[in-house]
Amino acid sequence: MEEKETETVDITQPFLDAVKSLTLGELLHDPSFGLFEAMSAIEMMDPKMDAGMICNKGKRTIMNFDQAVEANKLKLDDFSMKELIGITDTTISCLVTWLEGHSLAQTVFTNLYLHKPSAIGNKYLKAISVVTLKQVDVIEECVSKAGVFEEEDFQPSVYGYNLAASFSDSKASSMLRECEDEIQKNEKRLKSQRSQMNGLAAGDTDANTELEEISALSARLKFLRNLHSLLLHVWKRDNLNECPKLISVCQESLAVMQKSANLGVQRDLQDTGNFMIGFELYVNQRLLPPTFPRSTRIKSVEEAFSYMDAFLQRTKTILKVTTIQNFHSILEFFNTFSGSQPCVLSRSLLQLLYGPLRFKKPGLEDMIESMKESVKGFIAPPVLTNKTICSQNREISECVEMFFDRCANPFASLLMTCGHNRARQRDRLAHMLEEFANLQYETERIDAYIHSLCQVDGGVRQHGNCFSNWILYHISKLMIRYVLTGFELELYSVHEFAYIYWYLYEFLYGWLLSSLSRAEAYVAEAEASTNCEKSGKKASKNRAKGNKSKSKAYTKEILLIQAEQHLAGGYFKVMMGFMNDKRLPLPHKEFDNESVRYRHRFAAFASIHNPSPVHYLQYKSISDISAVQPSVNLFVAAARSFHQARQYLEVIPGAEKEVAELLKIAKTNFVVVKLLASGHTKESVHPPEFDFSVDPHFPIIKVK
Amino acid sequence: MVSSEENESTVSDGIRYISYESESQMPGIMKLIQKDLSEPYSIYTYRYFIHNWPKLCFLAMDGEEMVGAIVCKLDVHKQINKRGYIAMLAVDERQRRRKIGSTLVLKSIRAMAEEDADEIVLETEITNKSALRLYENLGFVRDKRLFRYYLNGVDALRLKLWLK
Repeated sequence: MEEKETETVDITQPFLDAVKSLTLGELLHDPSFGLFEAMSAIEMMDPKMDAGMICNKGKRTIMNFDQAVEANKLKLDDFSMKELIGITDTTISCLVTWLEGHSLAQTVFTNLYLHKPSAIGNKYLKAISVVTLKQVDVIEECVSKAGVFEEEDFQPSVYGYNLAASFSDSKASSMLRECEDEIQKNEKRLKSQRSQMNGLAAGDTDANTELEEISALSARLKFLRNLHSLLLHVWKRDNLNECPKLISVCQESLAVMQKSANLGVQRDLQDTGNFMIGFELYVNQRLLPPTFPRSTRIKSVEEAFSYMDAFLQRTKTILKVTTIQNFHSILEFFNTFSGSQPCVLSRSLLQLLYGPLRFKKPGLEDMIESMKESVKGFIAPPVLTNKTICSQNREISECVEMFFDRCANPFASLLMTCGHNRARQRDRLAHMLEEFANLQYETERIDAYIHSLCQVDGGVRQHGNCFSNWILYHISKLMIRYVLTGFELELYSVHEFAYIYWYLYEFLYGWLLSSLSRAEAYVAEAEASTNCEKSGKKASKNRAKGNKSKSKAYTKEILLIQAEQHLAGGYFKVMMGFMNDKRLPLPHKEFDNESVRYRHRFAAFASIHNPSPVHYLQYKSISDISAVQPSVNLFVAAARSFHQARQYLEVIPGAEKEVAELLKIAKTNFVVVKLLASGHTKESVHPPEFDFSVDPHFPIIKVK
Repeated sequence: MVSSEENESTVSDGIRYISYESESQMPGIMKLIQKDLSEPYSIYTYRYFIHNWPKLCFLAMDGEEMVGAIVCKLDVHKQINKRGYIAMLAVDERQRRRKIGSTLVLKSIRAMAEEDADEIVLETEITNKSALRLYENLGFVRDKRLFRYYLNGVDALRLKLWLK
């Protein structure tokens, strides 16, 4: 009926005739659909823009699960071992490709078997398919709930596919286990047959291959089951002590898988129609949003397996967070882990293990407790070390609680910030600085009030600005991190290094160090006063002892900061020397303005009032002084800085990789700068190079 | 061609730089730019920029042949900044290393500065070394890294030149 009413008319000619009435540059459009809207529209049927057109490209018909089964193009049973291995490996590759930011439609769901796993006859493939869907399900939940992804990291949409909802997690697991048991029996049977036939079988390559294939498939089943179980444990934060074992089983299985990837059916990369049994790369093309087709290349098996290997390693690392008590160590842990540029899944898992903003156990309350302990260890505020103060004065105790309650959110957000990808983190750090600036403002008030209350109370030690100093310590660290991530993301031009390192050297590290030394003094005072109370006579002796033991805890941190401070100083002076020798390419003068650039580069610090931002004029006056000095003096001064950095590094106890690497940088730069001071390569036309391969923040200087 | 006075055309190193005049130049601009792009643009993308900001589109001509083009826009960003944006820049492969790209960029910066722009931004692939060199030589710095920004999964950099 309806079809009769609709009449299709070819309007091409009338349209072309009508267009003639428009003059050059005229465009007829609806008022609500202007050029801006037109820009984001796609031209239908243009294969470069219309994702759906890919389906019409070849003669091949794209079939979904049911169609393929009906057309006898998709078998559901009688798979060879080779086929099962090939399908499994490709499925894992798809999963990994999804985890690298592509859509499920173009990765995991190109596997037709995953559309209807219950229709699969082969029990191995059925179990593999069900558990893969369950993995997708738990991964999607983990990443979505952790909330540390952006559109470029992860695409959670499942496009309405059923993630094997009718199978419980334990059912999926037991299905795989059944298969594993069966296959192990086969393996044993084959092995015993071989040993019976003995000598004859040794040369029987068929039997050898069969055995190899069986153990290859067996490793894959084991891997999938244990990986699923591992993800579930972290998701539920339940029986976490099982995890290390699950990880090592996965790692062992993965090693076998890596060696046996060649045993499976291999992908056909030339013919998309025959990519792999059961896969149709374009089956979901029409589900994609009407935008330009994003190119998705399924990762190779090799890439996928090495991703899994690294992922397991990362998971092993993040599990350590559950054993950390000290809040500073937790912050440090998050920051260090983020520095290794981990994948979105491991970043999310870490948030699940410690994400007090979104999850309980440990929640905000637990975090506050560990913060209190850290503040106590850091600066020993009398209100925390001396229990009687709080118990005697309710107002003081309320103030202390208020302070920590107020801190909880910014610090928990800071932990979450660490979960985002490094590129986004820089923007977020700038926002964190604003939040911490507000926190600092309130903390100063709280400090002053507690201080006044304590004085009335007649305590032995004064409260002073204990809490503010603790906040200052974190603000300085945040500012340093903000500047340093610019190096990691390769944002700074070489001609900017001078003011960047100057700011680090003259101010940021200095502020951090002064907050630390103030804290150290407080702690020493606290220990002295306890010792005093304990025994009046030996007070002076004990005091000296106490000082020593406590300062030890600070030693490493302070030495490392001093080393970094002097490294930064060294770079600043070298840059000044290079500038005097006119060895740095500078930008075209017409629009380049150093003062404007400087202001914008440090604009994120504007919200912080203590320490207040350093004005460009201050830098300018220093750089003007350097500009009239002979460059040899500047290189000599730089050599001194690198030498000092080296001296600090050499006394740091322990042999950590980080320290060893910085030491290498300090030593190498010292030699290079010495050469520069002697006039080496002075006339060179090659600009100096800065090699960040050893450390992302402190480069090795190279001159030719 | 119309008289050079009206176009404020300039000649440098044998290349004539002119402002955009009419839709009849559109196919030439598209042809030139399309070659360098990893992502397709529909004709409406060109029209959006060029019809709205015709004065911010400059062409480099070698005789009658178009060998370079730049397409920009200028509007208020986040209600505070007057932000210039370089949407497209292309130079004919055979004419590279003649400063045609830099000259086009400088011409457009001048035009935008005259209209009181606070800053000028653009995005480029982190792997596009020649574009990075060109812009950085003119004082642009890398303001942000954009993770997997392009359809092909490559990171981009947002380059920025602060004028104020």
